[in-house]
Formats: sequence, C-alpha cells, structure tokens
Amino acid sequence: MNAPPPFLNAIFHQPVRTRLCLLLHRGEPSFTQLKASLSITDGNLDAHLKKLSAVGYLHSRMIVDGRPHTVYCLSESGTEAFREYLDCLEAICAFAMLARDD
Amino acid sequence: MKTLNITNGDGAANIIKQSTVAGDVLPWRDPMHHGPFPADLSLSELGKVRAAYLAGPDGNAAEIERDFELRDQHLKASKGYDNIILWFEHDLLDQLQILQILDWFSNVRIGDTILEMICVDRFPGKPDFRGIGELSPKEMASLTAQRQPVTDSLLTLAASGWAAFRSSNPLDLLVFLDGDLGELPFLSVALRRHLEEFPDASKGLTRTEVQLLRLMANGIHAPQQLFLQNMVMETALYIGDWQTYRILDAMCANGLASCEPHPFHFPSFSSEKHSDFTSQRLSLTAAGIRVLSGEQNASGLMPRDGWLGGVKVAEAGTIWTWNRDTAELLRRSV
Repeated sequence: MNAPPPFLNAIFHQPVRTRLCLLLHRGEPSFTQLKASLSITDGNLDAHLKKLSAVGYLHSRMIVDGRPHTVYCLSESGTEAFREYLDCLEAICAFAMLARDD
Repeated sequence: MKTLNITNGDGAANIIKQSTVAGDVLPWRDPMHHGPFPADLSLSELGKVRAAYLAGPDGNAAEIERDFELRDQHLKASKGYDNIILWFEHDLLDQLQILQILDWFSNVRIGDTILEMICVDRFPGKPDFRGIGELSPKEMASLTAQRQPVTDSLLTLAASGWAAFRSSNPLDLLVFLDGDLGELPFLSVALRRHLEEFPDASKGLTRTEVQLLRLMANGIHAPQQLFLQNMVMETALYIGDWQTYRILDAMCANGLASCEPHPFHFPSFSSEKHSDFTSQRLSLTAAGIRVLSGEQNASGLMPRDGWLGGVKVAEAGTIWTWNRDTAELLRRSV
C-alpha cells in the first residue's frame, strides 16, 4: 500500500479522447466514421485529432475506395503510450480495490 | 529510441510501416510540382492555399486542409523524438519536399533530436529504379545504412532553395541553380525539369504538353496510355495521373486536342462509369498539328493562369517563358 497510484497520460485521459483512441486502437476509421461513432462535431473531432498529432500519436493513411479518403489509427508511439495508459488504469483499479479492502 | 520517419507519400510510408524500421511514419502528401507556393506564408497558411488548389472546384478542400494541419502538427512534435529520418528519392517531387521540410527545420530548435536523411536515385539490382515506393519492406529497411546527418550547411542550402522556389521572380531560381548544390546532388536536375514546365519560348507549350501531343501524333489515344507513356518520356518520376488528365482536359478545351466523345471526362470514382473514361480517344486537332510542327505558337491558345512554385506564369499582360536552347527564362508581353 506504500506505492503511490500511477499518473495517467493526460492526452488519453479526457472523456472524448479516451473513446476516440479506443476506436483508433481497434481499427482504421475515417473522419466521417469517427464523427458518427463519437457523436461530435467536425470542429470538435478536428481539435482532438490535432491534440493527438501534436504529440505524434496519430497516423493517417490515404486509401482509394471509391473517392480517395483518409483513415486514421494510432501511430507506433501512440499505440505504445495507449497500452501504457490502459495498464495505468488497471493499476489504479487494483490500487482502489486494495484501498477498499484495507 | 523514439524515431520519426518522414517520407514522400503513402506508398513509401506503408512500406516503411510493413518493414523492420522502427518508429512513427509521416507521409508528406502534397504533389508539389504544380500549383501555387506563394512566398511569405507560414506552413499552415500555405496548407490552406494548397488545399484550395488541390481540391479544385469539385474536391473537398476542408478534408485536404485537415490532412495538412495534422501533418504540420506532427512535424511540430519533432523535438519529442530522439531521431528523425527523412526518406526520399531524386525526382522533383521529393526534392521539393526535402526543401520544404528542411527549410522548416532550419527555423526551429529541435534540441538533441538527431536529424538524418536518406535520398537515393538507384537501388542494387533494379536498373529501372524510379523511387523508393517500388521497394519491398526488406529493401526499404536496407536503406537505413545510407542515412546521412543533416548538417547546418545543408539546412541553409535547403532554406535558400525553398526561398528561390517560392519567389515570385523565377530568375531567383536560376541564380540559386548557379550556386554550389553539392549537398543536394539531385536538386539541380530536378529543378531544371521544373523550369521546363514554363511555356517554351518558341512553341508556347510546356514540356508535358509537347510530350502528350507527340504521343497522340504517334498513335497513342487512350487517356490512361497517354499518362503511362508520358511517364516513360520522363527520366525521373514526374506528375501523377490526375494532373496529366487536367492537362489533357485543358488541351481539349483550348483546341489543341479533341476528345471523342466530347467533352473530356475525368476518371469516375464509381466503377460503373469507369468505361466512360477509359473508352475516350484523344487526337490532335489541326491547331495541335500546327503547334507541334512549329508553324504556330500556342501562347494565344492555352490559358496560363496557373502557378509554378511562387510564380504566377502569366500576370499583368506578361508571361514567363523558358528557352530550352539557352536555358533562360524570358518575360514576354502576351
């Protein structure tokens, strides 16, 4: 019980961005698909994608499936950081369980 | 070690991601060999100008602008990496991308981040090598042995080249080309190809237009074949299919070529309508034959309202033309 609870990566620890990153971690959605899944505006999604890109966590790829369009996923460093974030969440849950049991 | 790999587009980016090369990958998506690059605009301001141009009247400028904004945000994250590797080749597109990226790095502090570059014009066992986008993941990874540090003098050279390319006066580019470009060994040939896209002083046609008309004169009439054969006429990769079709469309609209059926149709994004594009046949008109043979100058036929780098090709009753024989740019009255 002496170890302090871990810090959460603030880039991921925001309600919309956590859900956004789950989608980017699991697949390669387009802007339109992300907007529909998250029920947010263009401007809001833009802002969150920029936040991820500004730390190098976002990767984009142009695909030609009908009209060419861009799809997004977490970059290599973004994937690694997101896994660490999920590990932190698990550690916090474990910490909370221990605190409750104490 | 956290690495950022910057490369010339999605083809090379996908190969790097499939390879054993570690790190994030940033594709530099901008067909820079055509359209406006006015001077004195920031990277984000330039992104808006480029997006509007690339989208054209029917495209989605907002989507392209978003791509540029996200790209620029990622670039600004550079100092968070331990090293950055630029992966490029010798052709004009790549050389311009190198200039733009290195110019940006010449103006920012990236602390202890190591900046390196790979730039190749050949690959062992590939006599017809045209670009890194044709390498296998294993071949791509092998290029890491060729990376060179980006020196301060290289950053200075690239910044000068970028300023010359974006200058509204194309003579600045000729002055730049007279300097020592040894640290960018493929740049001189690439920029000279750029200059050949100014209308020729005698014919009034760009090099691409001459090549496309010659292909039609030689019996190539299908638009896809015109694009492919035109690429063969280039010593290094040049414009892509869409820009080639834009030029064919302009030549048809201005009487140098004719299209059957009329008017020229761009490729459709719907597979059912694809044959509308592929079945078209383009031919020289009487005016096209006269221009190609040198009997008539095309300057009165083709509108020149476009940009090459920072230069408006025609402006205020004058037009910049290129004399291939003397390697001079001349400003003429229209």
